[in-house]
Amino acid sequence: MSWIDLAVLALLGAGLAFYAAGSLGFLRFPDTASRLHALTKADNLGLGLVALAAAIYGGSLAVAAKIALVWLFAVIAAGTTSQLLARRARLDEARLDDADSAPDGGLR
Amino acid sequence: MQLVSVLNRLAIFGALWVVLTGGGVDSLAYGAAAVAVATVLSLLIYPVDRPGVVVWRAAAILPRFLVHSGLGGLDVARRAFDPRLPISPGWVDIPLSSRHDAANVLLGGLISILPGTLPAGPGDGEMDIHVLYLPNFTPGEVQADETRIHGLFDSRITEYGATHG
Repeated sequence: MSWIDLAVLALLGAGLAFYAAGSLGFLRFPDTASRLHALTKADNLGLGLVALAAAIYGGSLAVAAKIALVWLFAVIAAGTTSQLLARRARLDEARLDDADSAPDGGLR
Repeated sequence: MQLVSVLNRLAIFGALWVVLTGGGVDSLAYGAAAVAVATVLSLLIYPVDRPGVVVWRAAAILPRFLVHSGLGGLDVARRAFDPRLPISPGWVDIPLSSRHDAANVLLGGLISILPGTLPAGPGDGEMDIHVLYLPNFTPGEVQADETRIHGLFDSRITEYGATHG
């Protein structure tokens, strides 16, 4: 096994560990927005490490550039959709707070 | 100026097509059509008379982006694995100095990769940010990032109330 194979294995292992952290945070964190932290940040790093492993394994600049672009698009998509989901979560929380403070308990 | 902006976009979409497909000669016609359609769409969505992002400035903040993306992942992974679950989540509202939607959305994207912060999109002149551990949060960092994002644009961004370094 060459040094390159070892580096690829180490990066893949680290990447999977961050994916596991993202999934664990998704299960353990208490609210929607906190869960989004886990799914965006830990998974972005996990994807970056797996992408780096794939780029090294591919062994050419063309493959590395293509994988870097795929990672960049995934990061942009995650950053944009997480903002939309967090906004939805924020509005839902505000609505629940309003319902709690309403005299009739929000029953209409 | 406007022609240069259109040519820049053609060049960027052309480069993306070459990198993603390998730029084979036999698929050049499809590539040319895809690049033309992408350029027209981008001109419709974001016309060239609006403040543009200066590409080399965006490239200059890429290392910082990568480092913070790594730190953000490490921070949340550490908290997820810790049996004590050391989080103290809550919302904060940070006022925005600029009314430029694209700059504010870009700022949201940057904040979303920073350790411990997740924006809920810009709205009503402020950014709602969800913070994973409130005692560590310092609003000044968001304002510094706002100035950094405005600095990526050309000077026309100041017409939208932004400060431009």
